[in-house]
This record gives sequence, structure tokens and C-alpha cells, in this order.
Amino acid sequence: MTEPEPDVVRSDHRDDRHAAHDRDGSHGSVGGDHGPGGSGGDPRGWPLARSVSLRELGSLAAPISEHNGQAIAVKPLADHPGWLAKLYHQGQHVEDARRLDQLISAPSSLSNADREALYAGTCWPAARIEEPDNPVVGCVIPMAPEHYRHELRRGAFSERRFVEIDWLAKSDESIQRIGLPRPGFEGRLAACRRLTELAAILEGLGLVYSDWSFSNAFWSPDRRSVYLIDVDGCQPKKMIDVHQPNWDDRLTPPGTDADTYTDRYRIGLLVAKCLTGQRDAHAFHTVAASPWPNQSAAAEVLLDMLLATDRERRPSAGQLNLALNGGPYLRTVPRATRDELPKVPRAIPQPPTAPQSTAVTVAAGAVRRPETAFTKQIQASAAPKAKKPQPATSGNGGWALLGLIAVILLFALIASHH
Amino acid sequence: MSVCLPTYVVIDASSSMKPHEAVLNATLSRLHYNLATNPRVSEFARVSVIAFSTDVHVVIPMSDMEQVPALPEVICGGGTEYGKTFDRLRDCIAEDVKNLRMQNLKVLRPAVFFLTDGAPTDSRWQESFRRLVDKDWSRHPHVIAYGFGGAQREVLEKVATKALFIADGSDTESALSSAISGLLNSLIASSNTGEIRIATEVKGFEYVQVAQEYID
Repeated sequence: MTEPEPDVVRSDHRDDRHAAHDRDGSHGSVGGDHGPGGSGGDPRGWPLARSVSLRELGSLAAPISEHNGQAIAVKPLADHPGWLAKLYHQGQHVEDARRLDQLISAPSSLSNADREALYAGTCWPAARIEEPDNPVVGCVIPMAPEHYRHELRRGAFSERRFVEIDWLAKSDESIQRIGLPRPGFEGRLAACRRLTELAAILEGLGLVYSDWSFSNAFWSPDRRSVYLIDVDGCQPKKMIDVHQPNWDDRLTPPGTDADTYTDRYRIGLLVAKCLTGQRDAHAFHTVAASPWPNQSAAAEVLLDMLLATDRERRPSAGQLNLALNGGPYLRTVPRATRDELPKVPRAIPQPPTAPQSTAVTVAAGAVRRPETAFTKQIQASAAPKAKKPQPATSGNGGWALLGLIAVILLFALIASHH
Repeated sequence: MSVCLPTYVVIDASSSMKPHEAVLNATLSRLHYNLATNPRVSEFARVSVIAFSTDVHVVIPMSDMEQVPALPEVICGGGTEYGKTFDRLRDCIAEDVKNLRMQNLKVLRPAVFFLTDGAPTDSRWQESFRRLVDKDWSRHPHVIAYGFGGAQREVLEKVATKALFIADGSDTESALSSAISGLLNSLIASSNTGEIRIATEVKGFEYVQVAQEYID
């Protein structure tokens, strides 16, 4: 089978990446040694070819996910433990087959270290699933490793789930509250390094991911690592902008494609939130305060990614990765102009609908409150704030009283002498 | 600027719910767990829980549920006063939307998930309802109604402005659990898109499409 000419190319930003990624110095050829129909030789152990039919895959187990994004179902391969069939909606085209083949073979163009990082940190597709009348039924992807699951506890409930990176954008206290270990800054930094390492590899391959957000990466608090999912949707150079609330890039207007610069903004936003544990404009302000002495360039890189008024002046994911690893930021001059920091939200005002502090009886339609710090706080805040009475002896009033007593004593003394 | 959906979970805590009180509280706790362990959803859908019977109780004021350690227990009893509930809702919405906007949030039209197993015991509730959904009031909410047990379809058809779910005869406890699952799925879908999306497949319920918002 003839291998198609891949569009996937390495970008010029590759050199920005941290040197550790080039440990073996090999860059390989784009597209690799194996055509889409050939034997994969996949280092992850995928035993079949890079294009397979449903029949070749054998029986499929019950879906673990349905109607999620571009997939109608994701089903485990019963004959190949650890692998999943991701089945797409109908309507995929030959170009999609070509793109998917390019994605599958792209890691062979990477250095060993990058390939290892990509396979370990993403559900990179291993094979395209095809049928005679449909070139892209779906793709085969690896299951996310078990260490990305954790028991999430809250109240009386507990469930073992994949931990989305969403949690890293919360405070250590919130993370601890659901039974996960507190990451601290070091844990956050380690995860962000992994995240930017993967982003830099994708950018180096000339791929746009677009869907950088909380829901598309898992986080392992124990190993301080991250795992990127839905990477089979990556496109060369540009793709439809995947809208996610609160991830809009104001310089990628609605209706225009997402490109590498859109990705840079979203990676910057994700890292800013995960590093600071803050989700709103506070994250920008914390970054601007540059509280990381050992990663002194990171704040500048992030601020340019997030606030540069010229989207093409946003630094690359590789530059951010380098800065997070303590490296420098080699910024082009003149400096990119930046937008102002977003306004910090005002403190949450007193809840006007705070629960009634007295509704604890088993009366009709009553609400019995558990004694928790939260309800105590609500009840305390709901109580009317009475004006604090001034102590009688405080301030000037005290001196006046003392004076009055002295005068009375003086009069009494004079009277007693008469 | 973040987008948020003010969400009101309005539950019937009248005496007809008394036999199902334990399930009601367990279901609410499950709702809390699911919201509190999905920061993306709890950040988007700010939730207030309101229980109504003869009186109206704000169980949880408008909150990011991740910040709420546990829901208080609801003790059922009393009548099913719709009118007071709609009046209180209107007051809450007015105040909550103002507060959310003060936090630099982009506030979507509020969503009221109205769960009831009975007919209103007050006769003048429609006046209060009209005030709540009056289109001239800029903050009028969407109302998504779930009816089960003794709920009256013709009443809920007047209350629902966005979607109506009528239990297909399954027991109240199963219906309650399914309704909360439907509500939760709606919030998850809405948080994914940044606009209100209603999960129309709710086990044990017939989905009744609401053609247009309530017009008197």
C-alpha cells in the first residue's frame, strides 16, 4: 500500500522546546516507516494493522461512552484488552481517512523522547477503522491508564472516576475536600510541565487541537502527570473552533477557524488556571504578580499568551514549557503590546436568600440543617448585624464620667468642711 | 468574563411527599455530590435549592455547589402553595442576578427546574406566576417542570415555559430520582455549550415539547 503524502510537518517553533525532549537527537521522517495498512509495530503493543475492519477487531463490549462530541460510542475491544473502538458519526470523508492516517503515523517522525511522551500522555490513535462503504468508521485508541482514576468523595457519596484536569484549577483545599492529595505548587507545576510538553509536541507536528479545556485532559495527583484525550480530532494547521464556554479566544472571532495561535491562548489559559488554582480573572492577576522565583520567565510568557493584542505574537507552547522548566523567555522585540488585565470579580455579596437560621424543627415543610461550617457561616451572615454597643467606659465618655465623679467628690468634701 | 446559568431547583416538600422524604433527601444529596465533584458544571450552573409547601424555604442560596459541604435535610409536610413559591422565586432571581453580575459574570436567563407531585392548594397562584414569567421583566426565567404522583398535567402545561416532563406512571421515588438525573444531565449539557440545553430523554417521563413560552 502506498503511503499518502502527509501534511503534518514540524513547525519552526520546534527549537523553542526544552532540550530534554531531544535526548536522542533524532527527528525522523514525517509519516514514518509504516503505511496505514501496514503492520503498526506500535510500541504500545497494538497488534493489528493501522487500518482495520470492524470484523478484524472482533467483538465490542458495551459502550463506556455514547454521543459524546464526534463519537457515537466508545466501546472496549473484548479481544484486545486496553484498547477502545471510538466510533464516529456517519458522514466522514476520504480526507478524514487521510488525516487520521497521518495522525497515526505522525509519531514516527518524532524523537524517541517525544514519541514516548506523546504515547504516554495521550490516547493517540493506533488504527483507523474502515468498512468497504465507509473509510472512517472510527479509530482505535488506548484506554486511559488506571492511575488517572481516583475515588472522589463528598458527603456520603463516593465514586471512582477519571480525574479531569478541571480539579487542578481549584484550590488545594477544594482538591483535598474530595479526597485527593493536595498538589501544592510543585504538583501543579509538574502537571503543567507535562501539559505544555504535549502541547509543544502537537505544535511541533503542525497540529491544531482547539479543544484545550478542562474536560479533555485527566490529571493524576499521585504521579503529577496529565493525559490528553480526543486527540484524534487534531487537524493540520487549522480546524473548526471547538467552542467551550469560558474558553473563548477574543482574537479568534466566532465563525473563524482555530489555528495554532488559538491553541496558544487556550494552553496559556489552562496553565494559568492550573498553576494558580484559580478559575476567573484572579488567575490573570496572580500570574501578573509573578510569584514563582524559580520560573521567573513563566509569568511573562503566560501574559503574552493571554494578553498580546496581536495574536501572532503569542509565544509558543514550547516557550512556555521552557519557562516552566526554569528556562529563559527569548522574546522578540519590540515587545508585544498587551491588553489590560481583566477586572477582578467583586467579593460575593451577602446571600440575600440565606437559609433561615431557626428552621431546624421537624415542622411542616421545614429544613433541618446539618451543623457544618458552611451552614454556621450562612446563619451567622444571615443574622442581622446589630450595632455594637459602645462600652460605657470607653473613649471620651469614660473620662467625662471620671471627671463628673471627681467634681461630686470635691463638692462633697467642701460641704463636709462647712 | 465567565458565563453562568442561575439555576433554581424548586422541590415540592408538601405532605404528599412525606412518605418519600428519605428518597427526596438522598436524591438531593446525589445532586449535590454530582455538582460538587464537577467543578466545570458547578462553576457554570450556580444553583439555589428551594423547598416549598405551605411556606417557601431557601434550602441553599445561589451558590457554587463545590463550596457547599452538604445539603440540609428537607422535612416534608403542609400544603402545596405555588403562589408563594413563584413570588419568592421572583425576589430571589432579582437579587441573585444582580449579585452575579456584580461578580463580573455574564448571566444567562435563569432556569427554574420545578419538581412537584401535587396540584396547587392555593387558588391565586396564576397571578404570581404571570409576574414571574412576564416577558417585560428582563430577568424572567425559563421554567422546566417535572410532574409525578398527583401532579396535574393541565396545571404544569401552564407552568412549563421551556420543557415539560410528565411521569409515565412509575412510582414517585423512581420518578424523583429520574427527574434529578434529567436535571443534572441538562446542566452538564448546558455547561458544555454555554447555553441552556434540556436533556429530553428522562427515564420514566414523557417529554412534552413546549411550543412557545407561556402566554396568558
